[in-house]
Amino acid sequence: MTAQAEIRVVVGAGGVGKTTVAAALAVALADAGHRTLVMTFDPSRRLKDTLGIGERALADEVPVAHCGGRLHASLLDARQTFDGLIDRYAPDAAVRQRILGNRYYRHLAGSLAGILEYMAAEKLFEIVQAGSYERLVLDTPPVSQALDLLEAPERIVRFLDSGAVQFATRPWFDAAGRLKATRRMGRLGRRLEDYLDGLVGLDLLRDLVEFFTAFKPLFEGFRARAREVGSLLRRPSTCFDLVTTASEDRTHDTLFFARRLRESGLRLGSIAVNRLHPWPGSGAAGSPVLARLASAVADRERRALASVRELLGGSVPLVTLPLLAEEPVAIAGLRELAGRFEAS
Amino acid sequence: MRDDFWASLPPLVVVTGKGGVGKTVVSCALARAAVGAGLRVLLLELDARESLHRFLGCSPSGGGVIRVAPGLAAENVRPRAVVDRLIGERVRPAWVARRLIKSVIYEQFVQGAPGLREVAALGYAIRATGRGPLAAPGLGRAGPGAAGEAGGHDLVLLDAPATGHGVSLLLAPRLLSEAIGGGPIAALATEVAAVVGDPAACGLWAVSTAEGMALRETLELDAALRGGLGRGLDLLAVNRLLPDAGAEPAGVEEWEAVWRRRAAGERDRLAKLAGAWRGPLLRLPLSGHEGPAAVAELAAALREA
Repeated sequence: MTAQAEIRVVVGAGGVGKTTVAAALAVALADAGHRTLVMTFDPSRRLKDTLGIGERALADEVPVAHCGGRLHASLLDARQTFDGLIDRYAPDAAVRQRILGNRYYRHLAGSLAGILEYMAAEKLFEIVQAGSYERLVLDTPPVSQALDLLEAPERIVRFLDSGAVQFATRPWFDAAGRLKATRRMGRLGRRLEDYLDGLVGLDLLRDLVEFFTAFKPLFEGFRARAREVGSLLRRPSTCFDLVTTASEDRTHDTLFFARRLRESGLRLGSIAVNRLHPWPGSGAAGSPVLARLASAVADRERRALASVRELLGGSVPLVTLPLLAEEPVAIAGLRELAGRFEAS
Repeated sequence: MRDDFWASLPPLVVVTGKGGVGKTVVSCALARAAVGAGLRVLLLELDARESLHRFLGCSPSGGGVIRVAPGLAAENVRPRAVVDRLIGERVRPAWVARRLIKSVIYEQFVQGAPGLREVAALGYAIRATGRGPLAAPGLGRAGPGAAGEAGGHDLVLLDAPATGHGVSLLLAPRLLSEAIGGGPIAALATEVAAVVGDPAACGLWAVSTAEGMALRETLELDAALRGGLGRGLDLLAVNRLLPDAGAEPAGVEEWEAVWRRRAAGERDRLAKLAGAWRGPLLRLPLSGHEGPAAVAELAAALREA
């Protein structure tokens, strides 16, 4: 049943170990008997090897070994998803070709703000529709403000609804690529056009207008889709797991994001404080240098944890995950991490 | 580092790296060390959520220049404001510029034209060096902010976004100049691309940790820059290195064994890195502190490096 698929979205700043946490969470869900898919962005080579996924996972969901056949993994690629959307919504092959061949689309649309985040949500929606899984774990792109994923569908809708698109898709240029408005004005019009060209570069405008004109027949489908993607993220069965590290520099960001999630009506499942250094014991250390540094780091991490705890006030489960001596190289390593995740 | 290291630097250095490796703390330490070597430094930050002040122990920039210490200034660059200012300078008469900046189509253009804000931000940093064609009066009057005192700095350090976005930042000028045919925006993009592509005009440094994923991403960044700009990174700073505690005595506690295994892993990976990275490598220790104290500790390590 597609409606029953539970979604865990793993969010957090870059470099906190989101992808590894997402993989560990997925292993735990599969071990608990659920048909699970983990969708990740750019995992490390080790994690890719651990999950046994290569380039094939870009197009397909590939089974992960040693998980009883219940865990699949796939790699997310924004460009490919965008191309796929255009394939789906283009009314005919000519429109499709016009968009895919447009200079603006080829060079720039892929780096359009929020596109990566939107495409992640879009891909998630496709998978939910297909209905092959009971649990979905979505890794998210490393962004300093992890809210982009949540706002991306709304932003796309706002953009499509804005007057600018309607304005841009008016027939400004004639077949020869000259501005219609100035053509009838003779020499003055020509000078005006040159002035505009000198100001913004009419080539860019021509490409933009051509892109939006070609894209226009797709708007309706795209807009409806963006709304559905947005509501998928707001379903009660979707929850967000926020990954962070125990550092005072990060505490502020973590709490800010937790608050924004709640304000947006989204469910915060847990806050995972990842990569806690092992704190020194009371016995004598083999190396005084290590002992001093480890104590300083431990003090720092304890303070950061305490302030997160205090500011959260126990409203969200706080999970602590240890820094591992090495990155997991086998499913067993992920399972160990997952075990700590579930235990706390 | 010796004084001749600082004296031989290009006027602009862009610091990038994978997210979470301590890019900002290292940028601040580099700025402090450069000031210690007698340079007048301007440290620029591109993240809209300011964090420089938490590492420098000063008040937030709020988009203006903060005097942090003698020889050290810091500023949070707002790319949108830079684009607005650029339009204000280039479009005449002034009321047309004002109307344009307020219009919906302009709003969408600035939001939607990818690369424009990146080009504006880099152009701003280049102008702040007071050198090259972008600093010439051809760009119009300088607005408020660091560019207003162009030439007042020996070194402009730009704390750039993390790798993925950092590559977009650095490749944007070239892409934009190729994607749009003509006009002043394309001309600006071309000028910026020329500076970014020239190691004598712009240094590209990366911060990493000695973790496998961070090192791999740094090498990929170097390759992406070589492919896209025809030049790679000039310097790699490896941050948060654990100390070498020597041979492991028998019966150490588990926490210490984990620290030692991680330290050994770092040493292995750095040894292997020697085959893939031949440029200068700065080694920076894991600091027991955060904020300004960590900056002071790293700056001291840099002076001795």
